[in-house]
Amino acid sequence: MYVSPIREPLIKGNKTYSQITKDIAAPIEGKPGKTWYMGLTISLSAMFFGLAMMAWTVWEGIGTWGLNRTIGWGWGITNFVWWVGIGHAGTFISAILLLFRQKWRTSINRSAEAMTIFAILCAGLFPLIHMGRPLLAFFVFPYPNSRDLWVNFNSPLLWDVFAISTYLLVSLLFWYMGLIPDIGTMRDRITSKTKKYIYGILSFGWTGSVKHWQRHEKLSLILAGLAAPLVLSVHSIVSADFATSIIPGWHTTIFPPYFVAGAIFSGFAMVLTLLIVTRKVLNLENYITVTHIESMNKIIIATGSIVGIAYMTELFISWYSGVEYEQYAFLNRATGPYWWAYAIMMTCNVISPQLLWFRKLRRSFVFTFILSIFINIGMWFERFVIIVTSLHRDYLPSSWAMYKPSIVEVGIFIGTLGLFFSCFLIFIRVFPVIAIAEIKTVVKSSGEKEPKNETL
Amino acid sequence: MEYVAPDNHYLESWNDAEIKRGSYSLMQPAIRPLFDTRQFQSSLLKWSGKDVDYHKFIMKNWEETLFPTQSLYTNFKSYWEHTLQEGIFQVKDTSNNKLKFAQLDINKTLEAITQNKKSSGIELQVYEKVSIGDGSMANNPWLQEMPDPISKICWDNYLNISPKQAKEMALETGNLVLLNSKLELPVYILPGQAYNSVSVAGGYGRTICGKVGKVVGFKISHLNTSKYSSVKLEKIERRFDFAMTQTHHSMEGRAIVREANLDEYKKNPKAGNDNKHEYKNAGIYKEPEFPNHHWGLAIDLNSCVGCGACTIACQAENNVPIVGKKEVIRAHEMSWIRIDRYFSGDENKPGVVFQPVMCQHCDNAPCENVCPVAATNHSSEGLNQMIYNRCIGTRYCGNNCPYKVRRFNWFDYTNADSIPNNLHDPAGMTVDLSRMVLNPDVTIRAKGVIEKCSMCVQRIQEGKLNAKLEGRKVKDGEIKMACQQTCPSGAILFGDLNDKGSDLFKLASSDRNYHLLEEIHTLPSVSYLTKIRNKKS
Repeated sequence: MYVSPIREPLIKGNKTYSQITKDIAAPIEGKPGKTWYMGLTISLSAMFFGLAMMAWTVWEGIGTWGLNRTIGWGWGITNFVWWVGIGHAGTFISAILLLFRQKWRTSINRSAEAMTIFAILCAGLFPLIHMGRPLLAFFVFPYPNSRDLWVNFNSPLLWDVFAISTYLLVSLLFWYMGLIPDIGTMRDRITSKTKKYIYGILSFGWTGSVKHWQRHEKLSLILAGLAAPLVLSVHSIVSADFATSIIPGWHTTIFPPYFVAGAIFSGFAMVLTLLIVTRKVLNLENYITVTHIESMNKIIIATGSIVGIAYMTELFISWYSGVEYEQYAFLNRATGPYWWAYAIMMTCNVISPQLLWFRKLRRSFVFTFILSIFINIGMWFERFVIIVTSLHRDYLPSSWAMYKPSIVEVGIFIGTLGLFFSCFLIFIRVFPVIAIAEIKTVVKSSGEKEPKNETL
Repeated sequence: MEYVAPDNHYLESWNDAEIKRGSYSLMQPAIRPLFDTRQFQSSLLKWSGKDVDYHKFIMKNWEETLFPTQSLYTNFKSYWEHTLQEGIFQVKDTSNNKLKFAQLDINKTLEAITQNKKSSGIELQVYEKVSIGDGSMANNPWLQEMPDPISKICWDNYLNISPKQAKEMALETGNLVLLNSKLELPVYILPGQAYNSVSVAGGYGRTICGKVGKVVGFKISHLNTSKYSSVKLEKIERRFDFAMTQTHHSMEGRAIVREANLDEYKKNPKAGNDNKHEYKNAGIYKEPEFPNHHWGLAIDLNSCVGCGACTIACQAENNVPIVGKKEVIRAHEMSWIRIDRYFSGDENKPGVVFQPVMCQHCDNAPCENVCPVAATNHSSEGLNQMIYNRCIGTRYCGNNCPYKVRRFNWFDYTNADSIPNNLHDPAGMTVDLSRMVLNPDVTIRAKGVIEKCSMCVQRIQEGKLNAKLEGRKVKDGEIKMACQQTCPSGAILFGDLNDKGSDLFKLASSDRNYHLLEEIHTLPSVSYLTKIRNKKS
């Protein structure tokens, strides 16, 4: 491969293969520091608080939430869509960027995929917990039964069941399949007998033979092929929950592409949030460099702009449609009692990413970190705005109402944040956060040591 | 020495009455006395030394006084049984007493009213609410939870104040005021309340009452209203939460209640009802067909007086739970039929419209296609049905209902939940005695399921079965909805839209007929008739 004299190397520090293995395995082999324990304690406490709130919801009823006869979905579904969206970055990085041969992805794909799985776990909790009768959730599966009851394939909520479960399954397979060679490496390196045994089982007897590699590569490509359409389909289906309804502000044909762009936008923001911290804490500055941050920022500005255009299109179409309900729904979003949520959404999602046109800003770790938090917040509010402000004032003014979340709903959201970060913190101490085997291919093609042998 | 002599309930008692001159009626017990009580009349007999059963006493009285006045029955037994079955016995009125209107001088009366001395300050008026009356109904949870027709507030009384006065005093609905430096009352700004007058409902704040009505609202019985007719108001910087089922009072210019004035209607019966959109076959799918029956309702907005009787009838018929004040504040009320009230025009002299809204039983129902488990679906007779056992409570149907008539069981209100110790029953409606109010034909719903108007499907079923047993078709008007049966002005009509001779069909094909939000093509089976106002345009 031709190596551009201008393009910076993807990995800095003239690393050799063994150094790479050592650097990436270090967090697993070493003892975690105080900050890690602190982080895990906080995350686990949040998680258990959330679990308690979920148990309370199941016991007492959805009445413990702030929902009412007019607003049937609030924080629960907002969080669901937010978490599903976040998951999309992982799949985008591992599948679509793989198919597009974006080599820089190798530094971030492992952790992004892990993030995807944890995000889907968090997301999946909400449709379950928001049900009035979660103990009967199995009714959504089309299983044969003596009562001849069948599910309703017209319902987007049912499509969700299949979309989300497929997504979780494929992401999990993809992630785990990619992990196998690295687990083999860990098995060979680790000294503790029990750990060796566990890694041994988890590695499925990986030996690194040519046959194994061949199959591994093939499966990678197949799974990437399977996962790539999922990036587009899953959030399209989630958007169909709203788009197929008749509620003004939900009934919008622009939703599928708009939601997918938004999902990748928010997902990359979350990847940035996580990796900017991780690279520092785990001493991976040479592997996750400013080039990676910049590349991701470019995707953020692209998807962020799509989201911005989508917002404008919605506004235009609502006016152009001439439908009074439609016009009112959007007027109410911007100027009604929830104007502040709309303002936060607009500021965080439309205005703030435009700052990334400045090269200096998009190569700044501090700025990117702050911006990523802004986008995380903004995208949460986007879903809140779509769900709540559309529902709270729809067709008949007699039923208009307001919605305020209860401590139980907030607690469950905090709980999923706790679950997410607990999983991530455990993950970085158990599995290599960077795909060791994959990143070595980047060294070969862009390392400065052997520029003459670049014929991959 | 004090005695307590508990009386029977009337449903436990024998009795008779002369309901009007010459018309005698009998009451017979529907149930054995539930408690250790004795009927008042039996007690009187006992205390007066006559140890005779009151039933026998009445019979004897009828045998001696009424039986001889007729000649149809020769023996008393058959006469008695016949009268019991009929419920009424009428004697030919032989008196020549003709009733006349009192010849009162209307001008004198008017003078007497207008001569009331004009008070200088703000005048207080005490009124009775349509729901709990003078307070005697305060222990009835249904009536407590019935929204006031005008204010849409339940579980409270409040001080109605005119919009102009409210502006002067910088008051908002929900502010508290101090009345004559004594009584704190929450304020409701009532469009149409006369300036310099305030009003408050009596019968609230009862201290000796049952479980439900005890200390609900504010006690005002200690105010001597004639003495206090001129009152002083001060604003208090605190707020009060109203259990208000409707918080937005304008139609926002939408064609929700269609109306016209009489002269416009005379010129054009379609006045106020000119729809500019395609209604028939406007969708891309074929419209559903109902080969046998197609049940529907028509609601005459001209007749509806907004009293709310239908809401209580529905609650009684369909075992709709009570949720209590706190839950109504959280918009968790369960009513299957509600009456929307909109103000229009000048707030000092507003136009008011009422619109009963229940499930519209859409033939192209937005709720049906979104349920993942098909718990709500369409019957072959045009009913939108709920299968409670199948419902998992995603509330997607409720969100997608443009009429917002679907109700979710937020808590275990009925003790039907499989999880113990989570009952929310503020009015004690699940204790054995209160449960006797339940209609055995209608199932109670568990926590976490959606419910809504079923178009009294149990009544339709009963009507169909009766017709089947007699080998005939269902007659028009034979089946009546609970709301229809109770409506004092006959504003609600149930029938078969397929029956070209039915009263419903006549209304449905009237020029005044329209469907609520028909432009979104939900194809409701419920329709409305335009409101015609008797005024000049």
